[in-house]
Amino acid sequence: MKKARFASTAVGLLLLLLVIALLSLRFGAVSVSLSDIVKELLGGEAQVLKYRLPRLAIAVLVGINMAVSGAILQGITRNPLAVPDVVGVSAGGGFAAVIVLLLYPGSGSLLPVAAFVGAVAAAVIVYMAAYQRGGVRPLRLALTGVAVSTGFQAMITFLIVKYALSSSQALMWLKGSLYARSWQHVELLWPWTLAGCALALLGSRHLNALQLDEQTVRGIGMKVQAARLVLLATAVGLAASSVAIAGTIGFVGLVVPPLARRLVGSDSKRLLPVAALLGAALVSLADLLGRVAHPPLEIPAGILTALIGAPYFAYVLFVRISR
Amino acid sequence: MGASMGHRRPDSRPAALRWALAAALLLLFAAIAWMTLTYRVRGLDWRTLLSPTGNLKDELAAYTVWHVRAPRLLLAASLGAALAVAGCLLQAMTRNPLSDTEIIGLNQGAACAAVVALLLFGGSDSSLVILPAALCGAAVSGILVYWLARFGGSDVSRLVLSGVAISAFMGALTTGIILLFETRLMEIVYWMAGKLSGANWSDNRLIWGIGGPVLTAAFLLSGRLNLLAQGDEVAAGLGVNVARTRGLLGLMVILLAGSAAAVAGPIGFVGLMVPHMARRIVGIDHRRLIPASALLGAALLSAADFAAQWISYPADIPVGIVTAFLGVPFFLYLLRRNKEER
Amino acid sequence: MNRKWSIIVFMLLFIITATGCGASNNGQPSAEAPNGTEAASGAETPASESAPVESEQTAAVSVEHEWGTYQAETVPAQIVTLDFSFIDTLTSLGVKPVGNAGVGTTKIPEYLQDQVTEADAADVGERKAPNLEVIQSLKPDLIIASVDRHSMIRGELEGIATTVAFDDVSYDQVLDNVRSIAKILGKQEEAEQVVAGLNEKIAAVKQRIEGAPTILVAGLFDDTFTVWVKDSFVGSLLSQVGADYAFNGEKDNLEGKGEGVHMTLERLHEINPDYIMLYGDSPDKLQDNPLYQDLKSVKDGRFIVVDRNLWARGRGPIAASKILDETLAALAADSASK
Repeated sequence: MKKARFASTAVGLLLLLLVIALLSLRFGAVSVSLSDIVKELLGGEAQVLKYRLPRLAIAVLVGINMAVSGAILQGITRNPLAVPDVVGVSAGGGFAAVIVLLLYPGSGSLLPVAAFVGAVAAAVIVYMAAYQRGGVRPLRLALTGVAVSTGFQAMITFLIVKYALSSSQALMWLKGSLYARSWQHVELLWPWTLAGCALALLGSRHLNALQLDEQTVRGIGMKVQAARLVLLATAVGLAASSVAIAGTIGFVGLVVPPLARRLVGSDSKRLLPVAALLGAALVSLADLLGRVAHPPLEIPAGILTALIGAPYFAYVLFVRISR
Repeated sequence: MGASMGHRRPDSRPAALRWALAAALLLLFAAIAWMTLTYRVRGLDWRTLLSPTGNLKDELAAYTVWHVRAPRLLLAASLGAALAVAGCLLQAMTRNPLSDTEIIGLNQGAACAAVVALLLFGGSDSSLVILPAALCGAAVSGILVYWLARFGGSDVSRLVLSGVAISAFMGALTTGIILLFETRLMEIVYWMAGKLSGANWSDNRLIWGIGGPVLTAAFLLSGRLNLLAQGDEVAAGLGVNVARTRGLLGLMVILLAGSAAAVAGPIGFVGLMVPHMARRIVGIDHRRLIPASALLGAALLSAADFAAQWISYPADIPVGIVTAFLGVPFFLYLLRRNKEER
Repeated sequence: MNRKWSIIVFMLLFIITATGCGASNNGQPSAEAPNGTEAASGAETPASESAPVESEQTAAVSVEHEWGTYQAETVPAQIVTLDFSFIDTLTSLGVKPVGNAGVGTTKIPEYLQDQVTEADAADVGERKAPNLEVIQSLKPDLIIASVDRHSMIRGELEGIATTVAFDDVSYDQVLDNVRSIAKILGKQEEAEQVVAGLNEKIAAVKQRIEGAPTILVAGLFDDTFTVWVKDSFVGSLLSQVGADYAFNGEKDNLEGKGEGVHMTLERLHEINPDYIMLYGDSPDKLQDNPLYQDLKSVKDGRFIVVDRNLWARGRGPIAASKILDETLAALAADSASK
């Protein structure tokens, strides 16, 4: 029964993703007819698609990364507030990026590396600070993450104000958008997605077990600490690589896992793939909407995911609770 | 100093020491006040300050001191007190010493409303538009957060969750609008970092009008706050209407933080840092904690504003940045100390 | 258990290798240093796709710009400009771009709207983030970009068409750009006329000014002033006419070219220049403020309200011309009232 449900959900989501992908390729500031798309895909000269296809690829990868990362974090810490954006990954990455842009203006290729390092560093700070004997309490993690994020944000604002960065493209990148992302970015990202998802799936049994409360987990006799650490590293790696390439695309890690849970239950083997598909669909949709809302202006995908995600999040959480 | 922060034990310091600390604090505040009022004011002379002469130079100095520096100083002090007490109340409400008004989404709501109002009504005078809009925005988001949290039951983490959601939403909306209409909204970015320049007496009157009653009410509620800190069931058992008290506290926090955001833009971390520092000095009894927080907050924000004004002369750094610089390391330090507690 | 761990190790190695390969292959298109130290390599490779460039014969036109050297035989017809000073320059030379990047809802700068309409120049998006798809669909043969804003998308721009990039912060740089762009378009005569016209105006203003009065340009918002620095466009322009631009700003602006600094009225009062050109909020709300009344410029009637769109955002020869016109008018009114 569960298996059938999983299969049908997965297929349904895959179809949804395909539809969104097609719409993404078709619509934008410049309209491309379906026949042109087919012509290009079959190996003609990629005109518009040289921008849209890599963007779509990145949107999918980012969506997968953030959703799976969120699912893992929520599983390990046993609470719905542990998500990559809240634990300071985005702000840390942004801060590192701004510093690099200050020191080496115009260096496009150094940016993802710096952002990645900054993101990981921030996550480590937040996690270490919030960790207490016995685990990480939900509230404490959220508050810590928000405080550290706010701190980084303030420092970013300070640097921007003091060194007049507003005229450069630093801010565009920071806002979380897929603007001007090309195949080189895809190549940087997909290994992380692949490895992260593989690790997550491999560890799904451990993830399931870690969701029980602490004593039971110890009782099972699993190597709790090791498993937790590896999964945590996976989650941070997924999130940091996503932030490094696309900036802050928020709310995906927060909204998608609970939704996926509603659809197929808490078993990680089913939860993770469904979450991945949902995440991919959400980010692709956000990017599409951002491009067609007010062309030729592009609204960054990060803004749209917050606009879509926040009300939905409120709805999911509170309607569910009040039952 | 005791081995712990004195959370569970009653305060054991002798009264004399506490009074000494309070006196020291007041002296510090006086020193800051003196510097703020007189630093680099040209042509300053004692007599002319107090009794105006017809001389223009003296008039200017007097004006600078009484109408530029003094309101700014008083506003910093008042806001510091208001934000610190709001932090106290929030921490009592959520029973978590890490709460801060930043996460409740009030600041973002104020910013969003200010941006929208500037767009719709902005004309020759931005000041007229920003303040009422920010007030409304803070109120609206505060109500939203509160309603969402109550709707889901009175569990504390729901408040934080809804705060996170509302902050993100409002933040995204603000950024999106600024992006679309950047030509007209360029300067709002500075306001959004929290600034006290241009403070005048009417700003002060607003804060006193709202903050005064609320601070008094907070002080009067100290007993109930002490009980609430022991836990919901304990408090209920002792006759406290938990839900209603929380509601009242929420309202008070919204009023304090909302009016602060309206007048000076979003300033964070004061409500986080000050209650802790105050707790170390006077203990956890709210009857002493609230006034102590108020005083400490006033001193802190005044000092921060002084730094913000003069560090990067002649440019003005938004004071919110200074508080963040102070706040984050403090917060991390706090977390490390807090670790042993549970 | 051991097998699992070896799979994990393998995965990690795999990521590192794959990422390393990806990074090293594709690190090139984005520039490492903004100033063109390379020769023609920046411009020639994509040029072979779209712009008409004969590589064997000597190029007819060769122009140095920040990202290399532009070489071409024929004059480009379809030009996309990615910043205000460039569309201004083109318009002054009598050329209309097929596409321009604006800011927010302002697609064409206001002071140019009588000469160039939206029907002439298509909207290619924000100047901070020009829409690459739209630019490509216009099939340009030349893109004029700004070093400040576009170094991060340099690779993408060069992939669409030949791209030249200029610095356009100070007045002198703008004048240089007028000449360089004119050379590319084969409009050197028009350029000399434009420059001559500007020099005339500068001379005219110089005549009107006695001594070297101090001057500042500032924007009022809420209660703070954004004061332009001496090296900005208006600052350097006003310095040309013999005024002493009173505010130099901080020297340590790394990302360069800090444009405005925030100040309170108190600071402005300390600087107290002879002339203040103000835009933004109306200064009427400052009437009761004795600091304001005590400003030298207010007392002498030299506190002048100017148009925001022109003074804050205008850049380029036409903007310079209009700013000089307004300055002249202000000075005339000034001396008339004496």
